[in-house]
Amino acid sequence: MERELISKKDLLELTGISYGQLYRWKRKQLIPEDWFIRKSTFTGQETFFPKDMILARIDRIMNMKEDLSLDELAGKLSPYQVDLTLSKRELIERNIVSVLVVDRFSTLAQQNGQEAYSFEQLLYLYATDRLLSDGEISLEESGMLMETLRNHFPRFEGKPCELLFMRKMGVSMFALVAAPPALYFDPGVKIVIKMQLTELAEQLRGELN
Amino acid sequence: MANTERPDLKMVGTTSSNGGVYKLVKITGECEINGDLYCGRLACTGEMNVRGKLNAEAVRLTGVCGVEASLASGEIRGTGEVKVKGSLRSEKIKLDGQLSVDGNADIGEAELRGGIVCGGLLTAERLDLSLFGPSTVRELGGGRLRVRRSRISAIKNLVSPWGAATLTAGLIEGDQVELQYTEAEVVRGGDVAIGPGCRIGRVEYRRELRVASGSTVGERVRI
Repeated sequence: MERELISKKDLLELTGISYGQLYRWKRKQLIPEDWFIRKSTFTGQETFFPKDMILARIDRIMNMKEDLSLDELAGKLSPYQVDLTLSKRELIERNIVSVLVVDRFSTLAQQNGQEAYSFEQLLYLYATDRLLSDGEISLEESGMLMETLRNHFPRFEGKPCELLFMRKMGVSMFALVAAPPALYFDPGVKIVIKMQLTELAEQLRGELN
Repeated sequence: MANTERPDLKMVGTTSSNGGVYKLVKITGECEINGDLYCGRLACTGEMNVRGKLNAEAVRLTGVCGVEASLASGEIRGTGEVKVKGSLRSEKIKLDGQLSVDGNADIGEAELRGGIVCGGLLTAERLDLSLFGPSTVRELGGGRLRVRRSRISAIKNLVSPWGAATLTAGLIEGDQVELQYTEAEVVRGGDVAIGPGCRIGRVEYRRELRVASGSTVGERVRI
């Protein structure tokens, strides 16, 4: 999937921010380092950004910074640590995750509405729901996916990672790898899904707000 | 962690440590740290080398500080040399001496008298660089960038074996850019002032451009 990119010059012109602001936000880790993509152009090396992601991020920073300090903002923007919880009722009412997935993968306390879902848990459900509804994985495999996410996702500690789903001769498996991955398989392996969880978290956050 | 009380670490002489989490770290002499070091204040007189990451609230240095992974600090002050193999992040740096970073450097306010060598992108909200020796930065970006040659170095250049006190950069970008004795392929900014001794391939400016006589600028583009 080729993402649409925007050059630094165009970005500053479009958003009206200054170099100082851009770099301040980078230093405060409001803009992740791996969004700075260096490419050579006919005028030499240029820096590019993934267009929709950076524009959405800058928009959020500009809207939020009036009532928050930059450091507080960093906590809000880091992809996974959103201090936001949702109850089961809200989750279904807002149609973020399907009832089927919610029922299948919630704890008893969450089912009863006594316990809310953390952002990480929401992300697991969201990812599973997305793949299920796309018809990429079976219900049985979704259990496997949940288990993989629950057991291993916290180990990345907020670092960018990708979810891979592979099949070979009818056997399926999931893997979580640190992004950007360099993985090569034998020809019998088919990579069914390659999903950036950071990006997914971003989308989820978009739906939550 | 069970023990939340962070101890101090004080070492004198030729010493070594495995790193860890400390409140105050004070090094006098020569110290080899074989691991990551996390601490509140770090004071070093002499030479230290961290074979890992260094995270500190404040660093006060007289001498040499080498870090083989990344260095993150609220503040770095002192005299001497800071060598970082990974990336550098600091809110404030005030250093007389040499700053070398192999990766990227993100700095809030930087006041440097000496030289910089940075293999990646160096960003600063405010950079004040007084050149004492040759400096090289692949890419320099920031809010207010000011590069000058110190008065003494003009005399020093006559006898120095290391070459002239100039800054060589690929790309320089800033809202306000003031350069002296700089060679760069592209300079891009809001207000750009090119002082004496510069050779710039292309200048792109938004508001104002001033070029001192004797400096050469290949292309001038107003954007």
